Amino acid sequence: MPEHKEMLDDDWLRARFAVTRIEDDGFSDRVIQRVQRRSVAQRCVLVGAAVIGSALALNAARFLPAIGPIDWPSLAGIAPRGNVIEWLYTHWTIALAALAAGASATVVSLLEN
Amino acid sequence: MLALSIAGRDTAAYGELVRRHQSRVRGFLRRLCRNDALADDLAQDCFVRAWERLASFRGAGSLASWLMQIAYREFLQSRRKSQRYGEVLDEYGRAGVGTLVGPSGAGGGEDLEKMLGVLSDDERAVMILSYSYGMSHREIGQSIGMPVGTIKSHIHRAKQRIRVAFALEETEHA
Repeated sequence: MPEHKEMLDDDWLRARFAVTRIEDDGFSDRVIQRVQRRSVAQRCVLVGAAVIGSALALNAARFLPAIGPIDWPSLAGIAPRGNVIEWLYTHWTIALAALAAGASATVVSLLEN
Repeated sequence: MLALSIAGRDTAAYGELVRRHQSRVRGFLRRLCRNDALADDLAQDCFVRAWERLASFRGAGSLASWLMQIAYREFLQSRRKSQRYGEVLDEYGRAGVGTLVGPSGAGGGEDLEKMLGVLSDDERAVMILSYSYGMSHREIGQSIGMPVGTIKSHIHRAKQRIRVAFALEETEHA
């Protein structure tokens, strides 16, 4: 059965499985558009997570007896007078908030991937 | 240089990579799915996923093998999740058994569809990567996450299935 042997021949299979090149009909552009849209969406999610994380951290900090009421005007960006380090030291809720925001962003980033 | 640009999240450089590899990935998925539109959707998903996972590419194998690996996973996931893919592939399977149209060259596309129709997902993937893209068993193993021994078994079984399914047609080939 010579035909039978031909059927199992690698060259015969290669001829049957031969591929023709698929032209890029705008496919790569569509992929890049999706990638860019996704990057923007991810940044928005990260910023949103950071904002929410900060808000939650500040809200939680409010209940810590060592901190007491939050000095909202200072946190809102009104320039502190005197030594910046001292100001940061006395307003360490900001550092806590930044830490929480960073953690939130990291968690969201990990979940996204 | 391209790899460095891509690692730096340069979308223009990534576009160049997509242009280089789109034919291979789309061709592979088109043969797996048999539906060009579905395959192209999966190929897009594959390249978007690859962009997100660029940091995980260690350079152990070739970039093409890594992309094929993602493409095959996307295919399997979609098949599990979507009834639509399942229906298309079932139709593909039904069309599989029959007679081959002609000798090598003539009716090649139609015959290939029939041959692929009698194979399982894994066998189809292995045969396409081996005979359409000329990948070695090791490269195929990297692409679809199987040991070389399993690849050889799949190729052997696939040839057996093709031989059995189209045995009646072989006299008409001559």
